[in-house]
Amino acid sequence: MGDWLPLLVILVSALAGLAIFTLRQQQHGLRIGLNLGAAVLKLSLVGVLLAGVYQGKEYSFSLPLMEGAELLLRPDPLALLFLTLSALLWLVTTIYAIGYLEGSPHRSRFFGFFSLCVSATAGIAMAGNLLTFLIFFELLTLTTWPLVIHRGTRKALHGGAIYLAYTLCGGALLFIGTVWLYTLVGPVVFTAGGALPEGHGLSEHTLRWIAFLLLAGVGVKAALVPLHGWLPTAMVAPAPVSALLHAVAVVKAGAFGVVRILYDVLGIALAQALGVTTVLAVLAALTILWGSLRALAQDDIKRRLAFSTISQVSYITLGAAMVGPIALVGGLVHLVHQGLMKITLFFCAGNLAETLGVHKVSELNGAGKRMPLTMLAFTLGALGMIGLPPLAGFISKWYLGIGALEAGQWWWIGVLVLSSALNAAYFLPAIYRAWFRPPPETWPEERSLSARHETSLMLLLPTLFVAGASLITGLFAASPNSPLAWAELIVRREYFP
Amino acid sequence: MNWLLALAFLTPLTLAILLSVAELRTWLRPLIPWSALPALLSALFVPLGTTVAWPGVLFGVEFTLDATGQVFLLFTALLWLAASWFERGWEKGDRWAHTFEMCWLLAMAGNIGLILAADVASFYLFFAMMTFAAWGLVIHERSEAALHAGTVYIVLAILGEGMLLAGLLLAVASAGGEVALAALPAAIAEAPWQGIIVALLLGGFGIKAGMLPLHAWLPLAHPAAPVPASAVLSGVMIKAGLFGWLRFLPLGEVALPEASQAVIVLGLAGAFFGVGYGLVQHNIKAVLAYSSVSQMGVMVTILGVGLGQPALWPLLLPALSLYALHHAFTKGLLFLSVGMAMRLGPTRLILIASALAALSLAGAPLAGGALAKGAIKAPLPEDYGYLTWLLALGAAGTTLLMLRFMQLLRAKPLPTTPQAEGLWGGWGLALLACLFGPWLAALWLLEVTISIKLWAALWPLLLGAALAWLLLRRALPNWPAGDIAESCSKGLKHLHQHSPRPELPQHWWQQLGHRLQQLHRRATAQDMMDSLSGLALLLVALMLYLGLGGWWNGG
Repeated sequence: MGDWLPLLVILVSALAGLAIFTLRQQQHGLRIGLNLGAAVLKLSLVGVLLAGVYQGKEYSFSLPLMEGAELLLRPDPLALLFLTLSALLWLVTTIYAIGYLEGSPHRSRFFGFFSLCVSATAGIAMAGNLLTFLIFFELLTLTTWPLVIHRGTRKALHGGAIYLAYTLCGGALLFIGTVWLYTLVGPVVFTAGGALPEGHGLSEHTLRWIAFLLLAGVGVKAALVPLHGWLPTAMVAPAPVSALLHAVAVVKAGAFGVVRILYDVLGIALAQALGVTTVLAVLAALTILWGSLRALAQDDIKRRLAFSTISQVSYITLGAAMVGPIALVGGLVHLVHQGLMKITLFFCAGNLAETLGVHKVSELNGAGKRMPLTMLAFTLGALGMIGLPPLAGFISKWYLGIGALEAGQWWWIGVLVLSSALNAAYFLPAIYRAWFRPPPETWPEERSLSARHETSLMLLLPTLFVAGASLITGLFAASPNSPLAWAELIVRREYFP
Repeated sequence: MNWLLALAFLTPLTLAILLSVAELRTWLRPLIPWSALPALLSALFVPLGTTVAWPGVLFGVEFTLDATGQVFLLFTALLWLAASWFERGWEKGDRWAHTFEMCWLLAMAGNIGLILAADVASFYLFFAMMTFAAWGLVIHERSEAALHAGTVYIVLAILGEGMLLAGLLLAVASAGGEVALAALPAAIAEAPWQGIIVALLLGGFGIKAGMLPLHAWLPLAHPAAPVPASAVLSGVMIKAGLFGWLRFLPLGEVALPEASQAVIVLGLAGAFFGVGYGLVQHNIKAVLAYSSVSQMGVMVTILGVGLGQPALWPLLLPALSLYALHHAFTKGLLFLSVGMAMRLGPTRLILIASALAALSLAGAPLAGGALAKGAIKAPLPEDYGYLTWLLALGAAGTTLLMLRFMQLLRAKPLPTTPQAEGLWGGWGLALLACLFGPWLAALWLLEVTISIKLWAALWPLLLGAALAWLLLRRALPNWPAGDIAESCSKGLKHLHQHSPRPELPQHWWQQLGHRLQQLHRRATAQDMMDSLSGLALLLVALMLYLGLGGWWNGG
C-alpha cells in the first residue's frame, strides 16, 4: 500500500479531471462534488505521506517504461514541501473557482484541465528521476495552456500562444539536456549531493552545456530574466488560474526544478565548481530588481502582480544559488510563503474585478470602505511581499539575508533591501488608495453577489483563509509545525547535514 | 506581573483589531483613551527584569523590562495616555475618524512594543508598525499639505526601514545568528562590518530621530497631523529613534572616534539649525517641530560623546534618558497647548502653562529642563569643555525660539465659539507631567547628578531674551517648512515639467538619455519587447556563460 501512495496522490486528481470532462454543463452538483471530493481526498493522502516522511519512512513507486528508463515517484521532504502546498492551495482555489466561474460557459473543460494541472504538479513534486520530472513538466505545460486561453478572446489566445512558445522551447531545452545526460551516464536518479556516478568522466565543458540546458529549461517556467516574457501576457487567464499559475503550478514548478537540478542532479558542490550557482544568483538578482521595476509602471492590478511574481519567485532561486544552509532554508520556505501571499493577492484582484469591476490600481480609491475584508487580505498579502514582520515574507527575507552573510556574500543584502523598497513603492499606493481615499460615486461595474456580505462567500472565504495563512505561517514561524520548520528539516536532513 | 507587561502592548493592538468589527465599535470606543494605561502601570509596578517569552512566535520573541526601557516606557505611556484623552475631545466625528483611531492605536502599540522588545524580530515588527501607522496620522487631514507631508514621510520612512533591515541583518549575522537584543551591542563592537553596521543604524534610526540631514520630513509631518498626533509624534515617537540607538549601538563597549565626531557634529548642527530655521516659520506647529529637531540635536550630541567615550556611558545613559523624558513631556504639553489655544483662544491659563513649558525647555533654573541640562553636562570631561559652551549657546537659541513661539501663540485669534470640552483632562495630565515629571524621575528613578547652578542656567536665558528683543520686533520672513525636502521636491517638479522637449537635445549624453527614455517607454508599452529582448539577452548570456566559464577554468 505504502508504495502505491505516491501514485494514488497523482491519480486522484487526474481521474477526477478525466471524469469531469465527461460531465455536461448542467451537472453542477456532481462536478462540484467530484472537484471537492478529489481535493479533500488528495489533501488527506498528502497528509498521510507527510506524516510518513516526517517519521523517516521512504516511499517509492517505479514503473519501467523502456530499457533504462523508468517512471519513478519517490517523495522526499523537499517533494512534500511542494506537494503539501499544491494540495492545500488546490482545494482552496477549487472553492474559489467554483464561486468565480458561477454561470460561465465551458466549466467542465475548465475544471477538467484544472485537475489535470494539479496532478501534473504533484508529479513534478514527487518525481524521483530526471525523466519523470521531464514528463510531468511537459504535462504541466499542456494542461495549463487550455486554462490560459479559457476565455477564448483574441487577447487570451495571443497570451496563450506566447505562453506555449516559451514553455515548449523551455521544455525542448530540458528534453535535450535530459536525453544527453541519460545517454552519457544512464538513469539520473535524484540524489542529495548529486546524481552523477563517481568517476563519470564527463568533461567540464559537457557538464556546463548540460547544466545550461537543464537550467534554461526550468528557468523559463521560473520566469528568470530574460526568460520571463510569457508571464505578464499569460495573466489574461481567469483569476483563479492566475492565482494557481503564479502561486503553485507553473512558476513554482520552475523554481522547484532549479532547486532539484542544483541539489539533486548536479550536486551543489559541482554546480558551484562549474560556476553555475554564481550565474544563477546574478540572474536571480537581476530578475528580482527588473520584475519590481516593471511592476512599478503597471496600472492594471493583475499585471502589477504578474511582474511582482517574476520578482518574488526569484528569491527561491537566489536562496538556492547562494550555496549555504540558511540561505537555502530562506529560498525553500519562500516557495510556500510566496505561494500563500501571491494567491491571496490574486484572489483579491479577482474579488475586486468580479464585484466592482475594478481592474486598475487607480480605481482602487475607497475600496477598503466597500470591501473591507478583501482589502484587509490584500493589505496582509502586500505587506508580506514588502517583507514586514510578522508576515510570511519577512521570515523568508530574513533567512535569505542572514544566509547571504553566512555564505560570505553580503552584496545580496543590497538586492533584498532594494527589492523591499521597490515592493513598498508599488504596493503601498494601492493600500493607500484603498484605505485613505474616499470611494467614487459609482464603481466601474458593480454587481451584487451577496446580500449580506461584501461579495460572495465562495470568493471571500478562500481569500481570508489564505491571507490568514500567510499571517500565521509568519507569526508562528518558530513553532514546530511551520513551513519554516519543514524547510529546516529538508536542509538538515538532505543537503547540509 | 508578566501578564501586565504583555498587556502593555497587547491592549492597544487588540483594541485596534477589534475596532475593525463594525458591530463592536460603539462598545469599544470609550476604551480608546485608556488603552495606554496598562503600559503606564507596567512602567510603574512591574519589577525590572520581568520577562515574557513566546518561543513559537517569529524566531522566538521575548519582551522584557530593563532600566532604560522603564524610563522610556514611563514617559511614552504617560504622554500617549494624555494625548489619547485629548484626542477624544478633539475628534469632531469627521469621516475619517475610524481610520484615524485604528492608526492611532497601532502606532501606540508599536511605540510601546518596541520599548519592551528584547529580540530583533519583535523590535523590527513594532518599529515598522509604528512607522506605517503614523503615516495614517500624518495624512489624516487629507489637505494638500498633509498629503505632501505624508509622501515625504513615507519615502524617508521606507529608506529608514531599508537601512535598518540591512543593519540588523549584518548585526545578527555577526552575532552568529543570535537574535536577543542584549547580545547585539557587544557583537557589533567586534563585528568585521562594524563601521557599516554603525552607519546603517545611525541612518536608519536617524530618520526617525530627526537627525540632520535626515530631518526634513519632520517639520512637514508633525505640523500636518492633528494636534494630539503632533504631540505624540514630536514627543515620543521621535524618541523611538533614540531608543533604537541605545538598544543597538555598541555604547559602553568600544570607542568609535570617527563615528563619535561625525555624530557630535551632526547633533550640534541640528541643535542650531533647528533654532535658526524654526525662527523663520509662521506656522506655530512648524516652530515646535523645528524646536524638536534642535532638541534631538542635543541628544544626538550626547550620544556622540557616548560613542567616543565608552567609560562615560554609564553616567551619560541615565542623563540622556532624563533629557528624553523632559523633552517628551514638555513638547507634548506645548503641542496640546497649541490645540487648546486653537479651540479657546490664547487664554491666560494656557499662556502661563505654555510659558512654563517654554521656560523649562530653555533650561530656566529649577525647571525640569535645567535638571536635564545639568545632568547631561555633569559627566562631560575636560576635553569636552567646548560642548558645555555650545550647549549653553543652544539653550540661548532655544530661549529665542520659545519666545517666538509665545509670540505666535499670543497672536492666535479667538475662535467664534470657544469650547474645549473634553480637552482639559489630557492637557492637565500633560501639564502635571511637564512640571513634575523630570524632578520625580531624577529623584527616584534615575541616577543622575542633580546640579543647580543658577548663573550657568541663567545667562543663556538672558542672552536669548536679548536676541529676541532685537529680532522678534521686526517681521520675520516665512520660509517653507521642510527645508531640504522642499528644495528637492521643487527641483524634481521643475525637472519633470521641463523634461519632455520636442527637439533632440544638443549634447550626446543628453541624446543618449533621450533615446533610453524612448526605449523604456516603448518597453513599458509592449510585452513583445520583453519577448524579443529576452531572446537576445538569452543568447548573450549563453555566450558569456560558456566563454567566461572556459576562461575561469582555463586560467
